[in-house]
Amino acid sequence: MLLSLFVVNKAGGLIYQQNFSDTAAKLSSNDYLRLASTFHSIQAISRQLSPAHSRFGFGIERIETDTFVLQAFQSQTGVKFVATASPETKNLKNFLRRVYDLYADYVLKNPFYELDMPIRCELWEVMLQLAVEEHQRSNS
Amino acid sequence: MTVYAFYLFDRQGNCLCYREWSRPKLMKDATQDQKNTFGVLFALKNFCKKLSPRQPGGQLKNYSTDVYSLHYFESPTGLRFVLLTSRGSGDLSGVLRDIYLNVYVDTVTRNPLYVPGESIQSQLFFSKLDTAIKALACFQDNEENKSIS
Repeated sequence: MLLSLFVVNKAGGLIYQQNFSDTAAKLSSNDYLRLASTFHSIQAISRQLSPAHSRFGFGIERIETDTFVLQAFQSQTGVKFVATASPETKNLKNFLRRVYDLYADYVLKNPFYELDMPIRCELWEVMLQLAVEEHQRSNS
Repeated sequence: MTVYAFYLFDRQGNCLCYREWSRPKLMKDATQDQKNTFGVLFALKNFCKKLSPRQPGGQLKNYSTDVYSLHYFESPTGLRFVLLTSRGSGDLSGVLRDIYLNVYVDTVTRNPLYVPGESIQSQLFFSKLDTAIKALACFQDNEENKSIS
């Protein structure tokens, strides 16, 4: 089950956050901003810690804990898509790919959207909701 | 699959033990690397706690990047056991727990000469740790990699 989605720009600023479940941790918007930039810096350091040579060097892709998993996907331009979900959730990687498609189609192609600014696009909200419902269905 | 390295930190962040089995990318400065590792884990611990849907919860078990996985176990007293392996080696935080219970407690805690907070010098600890790691399924390829390179 999906819990929440974060979109983080290349500077580490949170540009979109949405909870998909009532069980997701409820935090203030300041906390979400802080978590997003914390994740951005953790990813940067985790790249440096690598004991082996990395071809792409995206840093952390997946975090597993006892109560949830976190999956991250970074686009070539440095935008990070981060989803949290309950531990048994499958196909998170595909879901993030799908979200990236939607981002490219409904956010970047929106002439009123300014790069690296918070996302406020109606169509993106609608399509994202559909993608989430589809993912929840495929997992249940 | 390969096992790269093992770290043991105390609650203050001192590195009590560092062992490596293979490290294709050499690190520039060992102390800096240990500090960074501890820093990442410290930040991740709070990060996961915050994001957890249930409280208390959100204990970090492992994370993976495109090249390596980091497995993590924290004892109730704040000792942090860390193992770096290649990707796809499954969840090894249980193994780290076993190392804590069977290796650390036996050879370090029960050693009357050991001063808490000092780095570990016990040869018995090193050899037992070595045996535990070499018994892992994901260790097998370490030898193969060596023969190739």
